[in-house]
Amino acid sequence: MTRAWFVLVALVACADPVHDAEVTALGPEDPNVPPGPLHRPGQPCLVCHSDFSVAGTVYNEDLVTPFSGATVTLVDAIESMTQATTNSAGNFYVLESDWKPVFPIGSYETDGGAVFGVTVVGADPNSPSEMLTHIGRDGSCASCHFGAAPSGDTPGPVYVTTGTP
Amino acid sequence: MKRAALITAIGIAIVACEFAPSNERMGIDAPDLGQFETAGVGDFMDHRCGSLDCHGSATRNLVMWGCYGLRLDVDDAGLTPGCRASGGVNTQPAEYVASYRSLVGLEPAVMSAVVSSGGQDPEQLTFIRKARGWDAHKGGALVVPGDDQDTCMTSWLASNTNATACANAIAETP
Repeated sequence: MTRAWFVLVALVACADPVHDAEVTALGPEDPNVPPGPLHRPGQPCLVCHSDFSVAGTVYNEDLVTPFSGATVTLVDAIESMTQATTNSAGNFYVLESDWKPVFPIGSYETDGGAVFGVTVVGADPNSPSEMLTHIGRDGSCASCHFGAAPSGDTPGPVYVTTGTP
Repeated sequence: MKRAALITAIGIAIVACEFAPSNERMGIDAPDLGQFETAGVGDFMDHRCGSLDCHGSATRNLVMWGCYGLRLDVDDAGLTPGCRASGGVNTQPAEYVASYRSLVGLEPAVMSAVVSSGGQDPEQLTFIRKARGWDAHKGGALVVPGDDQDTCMTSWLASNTNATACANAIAETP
């Protein structure tokens, strides 16, 4: 009986109500999409996927249609680089075991010219989407890139132009 | 005797009520708003601290507004995040004021002590300790005591803002 109480107290003590609220706010799974690389596009992936370092969703210019096959290039504060490609849901993710960035993932000048922390290339390699500000702490694109369109507190979805290659 | 006691009690009550009127406001010996806006302190702090995932979030105790992140006026956000050089709208006067108030109002008594002493022991302020990584800070240790970033902030607290350090701090950091 005493042991059961200890276990119960330990479980309650380990609960994180803030994190629980974040997870709850994401809502249920889409019943038509099984949990996996294609699920929950546009949501802040790292809320649940603590083994990711960076993850997000890339859209077409209409800000609604997922962009499949975009190349996402990430450069961190010590100029370590990695790349990922979006899947059919527009999702991409980088495992922390493969690349653990030193924040900020940022845009800055080097002797070789401007380096952008995040560059997304869609169909036209000559029209990359470059993130002009930096990521300070959160690898979920959707923590900042939320909503249907740019607003005062969000730049809106990540998107690429679909110019002719 | 009872009457004397009653008068004394009323007198004490009246005197007690004379202190701390309900509408009294605490004053702050605050660093200069003008230098925050024009000498680069606000621009540096927005640039370094104000990304949308950090202090460019309205949910933080310290909130920075400006062209590197959170905007006060939705019309200033535009389609291109960033400042004028990158196609956006530069930080507006109201945004400098909002950021200034957020920062100065964090620890008003400590801020007064630091500023009134001419910027002595700026590490009494939590935002300096966090920036230096001396207190737990999700963004990590971002500045080193005496570097351009640190000098930008601490010289402002000393009412002698080093605008060159602030400009260098923006240029040197992501």
